Amino acid sequence: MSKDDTQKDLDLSDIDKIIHEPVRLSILAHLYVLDSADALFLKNQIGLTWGNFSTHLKRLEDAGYIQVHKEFVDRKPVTSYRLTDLGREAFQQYREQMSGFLKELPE
Amino acid sequence: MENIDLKEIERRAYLTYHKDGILDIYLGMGIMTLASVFFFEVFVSTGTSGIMVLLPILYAASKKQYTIPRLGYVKFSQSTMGRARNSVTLALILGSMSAIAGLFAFYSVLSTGINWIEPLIVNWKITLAAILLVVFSLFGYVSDLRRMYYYGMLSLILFVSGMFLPIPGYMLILAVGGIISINGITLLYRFTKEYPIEKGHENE
Repeated sequence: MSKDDTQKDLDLSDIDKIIHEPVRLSILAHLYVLDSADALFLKNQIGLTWGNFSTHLKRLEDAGYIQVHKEFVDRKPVTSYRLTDLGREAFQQYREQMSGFLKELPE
Repeated sequence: MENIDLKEIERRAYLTYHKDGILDIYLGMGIMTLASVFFFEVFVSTGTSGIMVLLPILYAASKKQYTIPRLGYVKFSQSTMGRARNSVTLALILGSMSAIAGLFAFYSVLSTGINWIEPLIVNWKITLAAILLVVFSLFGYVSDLRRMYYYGMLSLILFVSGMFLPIPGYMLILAVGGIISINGITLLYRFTKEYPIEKGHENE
């Protein structure tokens, strides 16, 4: 690997700040492997209190990374979240960036 | 990020969904229903078939009643759903095959007197214990639910003990089913404590 490539991997200035936050990263990681889930399931899996959980969901929704899906399950309204193509792409890119960055750190 | 284990996240979500013990309750009830077949000495009766058909319906209804309001609503990916479907299919195939093989062996001995099957029927408790151990282990492997291995071991221990104790066969099957169901009820109780219904946040 050339010196330029190494420098590029160590540069995190263009890292996606929306994803680079533990709660939002965890939400995206869950929605990456699940088809869809509601806020309660995500909250339970991530192990958080409600706090500003919905603010994080809104932030991801505004960025176009997740979409709200409303449906009726057994005549009860269910609001679930699903990862968009943009969100999937952004998450993959983030993983690659972080992976490259961590690989270049000395032991 | 290198330390995000996506497979583990998916696995944990799947296991949490089955942490409620509902599967165990109805699995145990199914086994207890089979015990009634031995007790009444009939292979197929309307009541038994009716209960067996009813169990999956009750399972789905219980999931909606207890799990979803507490844990939340989730749809798993196609691969996870495929694994769940494989587990159920495997359990049904193995269960049916064991029943058919048992009947076939029984009638073979009656009609032809094939020698090698006879010990399997004479020592039916060990045969059944081995079948249950294999079925539970395979079910545990495919479904990733570790407690299924323990149920397999439990069946083995109970049936082998049953060889030395004057207990009727149906009681052993009833005991296996009963213990599994009781464990399921305990898991459900713990689940409801761990995930209480949060007013105002159901299916948020």
